[in-house]
Amino acid sequence: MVEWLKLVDKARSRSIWMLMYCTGCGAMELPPAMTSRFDMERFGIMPMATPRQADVILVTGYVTKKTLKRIIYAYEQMPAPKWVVSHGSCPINGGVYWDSHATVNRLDLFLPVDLYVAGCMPRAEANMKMFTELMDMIAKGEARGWEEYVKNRDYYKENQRKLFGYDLVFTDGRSAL
Amino acid sequence: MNTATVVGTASMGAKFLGALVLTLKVLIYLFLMVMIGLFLMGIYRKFTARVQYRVGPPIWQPYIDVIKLLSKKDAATKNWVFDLGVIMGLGGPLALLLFLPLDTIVGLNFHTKGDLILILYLAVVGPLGFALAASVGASPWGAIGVGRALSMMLGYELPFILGLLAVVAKDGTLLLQKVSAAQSMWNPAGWHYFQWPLILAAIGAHIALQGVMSEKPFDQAIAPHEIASGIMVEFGGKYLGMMLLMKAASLMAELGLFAVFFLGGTTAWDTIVKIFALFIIAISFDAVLGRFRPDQAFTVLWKWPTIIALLGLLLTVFA
Ligand code: SF4
Repeated sequence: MVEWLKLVDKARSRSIWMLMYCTGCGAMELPPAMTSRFDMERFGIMPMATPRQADVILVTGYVTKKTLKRIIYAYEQMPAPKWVVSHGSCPINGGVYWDSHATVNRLDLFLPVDLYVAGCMPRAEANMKMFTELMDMIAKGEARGWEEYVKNRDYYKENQRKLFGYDLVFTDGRSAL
Repeated sequence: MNTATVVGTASMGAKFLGALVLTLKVLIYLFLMVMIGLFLMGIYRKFTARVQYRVGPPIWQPYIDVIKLLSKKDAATKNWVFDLGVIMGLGGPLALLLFLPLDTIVGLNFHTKGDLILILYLAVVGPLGFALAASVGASPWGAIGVGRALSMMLGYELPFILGLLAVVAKDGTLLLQKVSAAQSMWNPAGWHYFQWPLILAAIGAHIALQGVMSEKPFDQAIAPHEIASGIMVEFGGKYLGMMLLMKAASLMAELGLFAVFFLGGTTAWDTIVKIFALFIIAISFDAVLGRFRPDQAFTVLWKWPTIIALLGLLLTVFA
């Protein structure tokens, strides 16, 4: 059983499908990581079109209150195990938009972030480092943000409620998780 | 206990054992076919990457993807129709595979019963199943994808069936076994593909085959950059894994059918070789072509392949 789980973790680490939630300028450095110069598909990493198909949500840029709602909806639609990467200074500590009335300075108050990539913006080399790091963490079974989100649901939901002023639920009335 | 009952139970036991062996053989056969189909998809990804001047994923990448998808923890289902649609989608191509001569690989002989009418009915079960599931999914992108998939189906079925009908008219049989018996196995001159006037029907059907496999330029239904992967938009986790398996099985089924009708596929091994050859041709076009708009694709499919295949059919029947 343990062997089997190791195999599954290995498979998960070699087939990461991402949802690129390109909220800001940080997405600019992803195309070089995708195309022939760095070619992330050799690690099995691919961009995906919808949250349902994705394993990783990549938040690349400043997070406004309005987009945060969409990010949370997208995150909760993803099938577990799933991971969040906070990409660039803006979602880590606010970056150059730290005193804006519209942005959220720390993404990890609202979603369980597994990996941070610092930089404004992180270059393609940093992106590749981020991917290999994430692969290692997944293969070792260390990236368990999706379990944290279920375990500390009250904490995350409370933070979300404080920001938005109401509970986020799916539009069809189901609670989000 | 008299002897009659003993004989009765013995033959019951033998029958049961026979049924068990048959079931096992069918399962092994379908498993093998899906594995070969996944291998084809691995070739596809490597090939496309090399054309784009990239290293590309390892050739066993689709196996890793399937393991990952099937090991996902939650499955976002809608209702039982959604599940049923997915099962239909996987079952259709698997059932179709049973009636192709590929089944000699484990010594089955269902293919002797395979005829064109049955196969044409089974061929639409898979796409219809997934269209059903996608429309239950209630995503607007899914609805657009279903609309495109069904209109494309109308587009490519006509030239494809016209091409197959020309072969039927030439050989005077609907049975797949007799169609392959009318050709030679390895000598290309004995294939329907290179015989006048059947070559016209073959070319028409071959262009339509690109649509049957939904490779470019006819991949409107799953256009990821336009409509967020269309009919696949609501499929995640295990459902997406099933969809990959369905894609693998239907690749084998569609290419196998073409190989039997035009390239003299008679046994499992030569058919598999021909499937690989056909697939390489298909993905070479896929790698360098763009995507038609849905209306353009429909017009193209009902114009050129249809006219060519119809010409082939008419020349076969009347000349
Ligand atoms: S971190 Fe820099 S590059 Fe990234 S979104 Fe903020 S300002 Fe733009």
